[in-house]
Amino acid sequence: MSSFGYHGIKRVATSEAARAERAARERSKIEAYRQLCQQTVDLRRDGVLDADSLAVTTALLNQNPEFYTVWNFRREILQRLFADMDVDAVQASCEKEIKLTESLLRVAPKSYWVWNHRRWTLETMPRPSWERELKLIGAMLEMDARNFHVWDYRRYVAKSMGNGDPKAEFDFTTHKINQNFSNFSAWHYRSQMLPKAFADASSQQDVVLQDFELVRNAIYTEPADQSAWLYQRWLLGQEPSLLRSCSVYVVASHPATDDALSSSASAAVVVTFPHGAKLRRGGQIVVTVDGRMVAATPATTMFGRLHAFLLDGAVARGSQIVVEMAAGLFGGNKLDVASVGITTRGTVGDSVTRLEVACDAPANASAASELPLGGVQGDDIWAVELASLKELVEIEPDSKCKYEIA
Amino acid sequence: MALDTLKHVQYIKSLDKKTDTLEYWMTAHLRLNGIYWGTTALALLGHGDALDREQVVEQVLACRHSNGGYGGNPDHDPHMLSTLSAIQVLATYDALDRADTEATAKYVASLQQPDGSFAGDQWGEIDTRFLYCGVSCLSILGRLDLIDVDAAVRYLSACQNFDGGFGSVLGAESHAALVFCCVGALAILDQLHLVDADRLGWWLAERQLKNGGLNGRPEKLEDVCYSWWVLSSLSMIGRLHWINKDKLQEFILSAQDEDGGIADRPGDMPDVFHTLFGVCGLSLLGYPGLQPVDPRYCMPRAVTDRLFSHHPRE
Repeated sequence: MSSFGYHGIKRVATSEAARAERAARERSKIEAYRQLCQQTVDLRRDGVLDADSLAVTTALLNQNPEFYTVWNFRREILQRLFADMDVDAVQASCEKEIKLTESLLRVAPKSYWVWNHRRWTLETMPRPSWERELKLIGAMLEMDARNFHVWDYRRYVAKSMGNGDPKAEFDFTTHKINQNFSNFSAWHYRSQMLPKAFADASSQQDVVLQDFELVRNAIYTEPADQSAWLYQRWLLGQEPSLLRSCSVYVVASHPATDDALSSSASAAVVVTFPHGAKLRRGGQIVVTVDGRMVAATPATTMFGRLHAFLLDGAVARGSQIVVEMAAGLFGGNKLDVASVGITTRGTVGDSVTRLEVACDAPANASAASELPLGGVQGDDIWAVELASLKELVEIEPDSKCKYEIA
Repeated sequence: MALDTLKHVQYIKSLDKKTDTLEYWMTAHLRLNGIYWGTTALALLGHGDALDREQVVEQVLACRHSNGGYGGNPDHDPHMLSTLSAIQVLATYDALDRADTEATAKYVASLQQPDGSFAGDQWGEIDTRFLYCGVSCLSILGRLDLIDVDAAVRYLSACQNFDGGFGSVLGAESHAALVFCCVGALAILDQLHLVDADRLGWWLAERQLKNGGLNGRPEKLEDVCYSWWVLSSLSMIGRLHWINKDKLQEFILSAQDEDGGIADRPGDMPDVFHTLFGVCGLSLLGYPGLQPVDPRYCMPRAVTDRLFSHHPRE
């Protein structure tokens, strides 16, 4: 059976006559191609591992780089030839393989078989130049910035260079992201390189905070683009001071002309955790506004880090709000806070209000001492992010971030 | 728009007669995969008898290598990709007794690496596609005992990314086709509890674009084949309802060619690969008249039910 794996080839209507005409045109090509294939099969069967056989495979692979068996035959020939060569001759011969694969990658940049042969060559040659591979990768990503073969190859090359230079790899992702925010392949690699390039906690925190800014710029430039949103989720899990803490916010949306909330759906309590935390089935927080209990419905969980509870009823600016979470309400592997109850309180302000922990958790609970009580810069990231998302919803009512905060 | 079943059956039957095109010869290395794509599509369309059974089985057996593996065509080297296709086709035609499956199981198992991953062949390319091929194949043959299942599961878990998806190797970007491979292997090994289903389900659901079609990665174009890779994964983690089924169905149907076959997207050339995955997608969506497909094996449910009544799935 033929005809598979077309991608993006436009259909052209063909009449029977046009088809016959094409078949006539292709007949001699088919004949020549089949002869070349048969010649290769015969040489392989007869075990002819010499320079002439190598030339036959070159001719065939130039016509069809997907013919994997021919690549296998080619390597068998090369292995045989290398056995009788000195190091410099092997190096020179491998340089020819580098040239061949490079020219084929330009026409078939997604051919697994060509990439494989290039790896084999580099692993076989006495003096591989990994720097040259980085240049090739750079050029290939200029042609198609999302080709996953090339990104996988970059990780392979970096690993082959003794894990290379993580800072240079991190900077490379900055370069690709600045070219095009929409390149999730670059954001993905960035999430791997950031912790390696900035190993000490304080420089890592600085970069994480800078990257929040980078993500905000990307989101404002292209709100519908998923790439930056995905990376933001990773960042939210990285911010070091959050690793120990749970934070509670009230997100309220006050109509411009009124200081009271008219819509019950527009106020929410948001509880954030750095690690996966699951709300116990049927679990509820207890919310009191100006001494009156207000129903709070669990709305959504984002990766177990951000729980939103929609408040039923108006919450006026200036109201005193108390949020109580019973011990064991949230559970999670790394979550100390699950074992203690927490009460937070504050005065409802504009947009996002961070509630202060009231510190009536048991003094002997280790988690209590680690709850965010101070004004550490990183602790405010959630508030900054929520505020900027809210602003974006107002500018771009249809953008994706509606789902992030709702 | 409706599924034009008879035209698709005719299209698939015609594929083997296109020997006057250069393309037929240039794709010779994919012949065994093509037989799997075509015969599976026919079975799901309810026309499993459209091709001569004996001829199909003989074509598959002709690709068999002495070491138990199968190549893409006679005289082509054995490889995981064609070996799985061979076993799937033989299973569908209830002809596994026609070949020495024990040798095939040993060939497949020999490609597992100490870290649990699988190579595609003796040349050592590592990819989660091959891990899936190995697990699916050995499961069909009832010989999962030949491999280190725990190591395979550890490798799969390590491939899960922060966005919930899976890539081709450790550290690779999430890609819907490789999500299918990893989730499929975990499902076959009964280890789906290791998947962060909400996170993965969210990532998969985000593959749907405004036109109803699904893409394979963020900010890429839609393509009919992701109707299978994404949908089967959602189905395995119990979140098929997280996408808009009507819009996807409409998108797949609109990619049908007027002369039969389904293309990657409307207006493009059809091919048997996209024909199968379009039909599979419609089957998972419950399109009337189609046979149910097993989301773990990409084979008719009736076939996997028959297989695993013979020997318990491990």
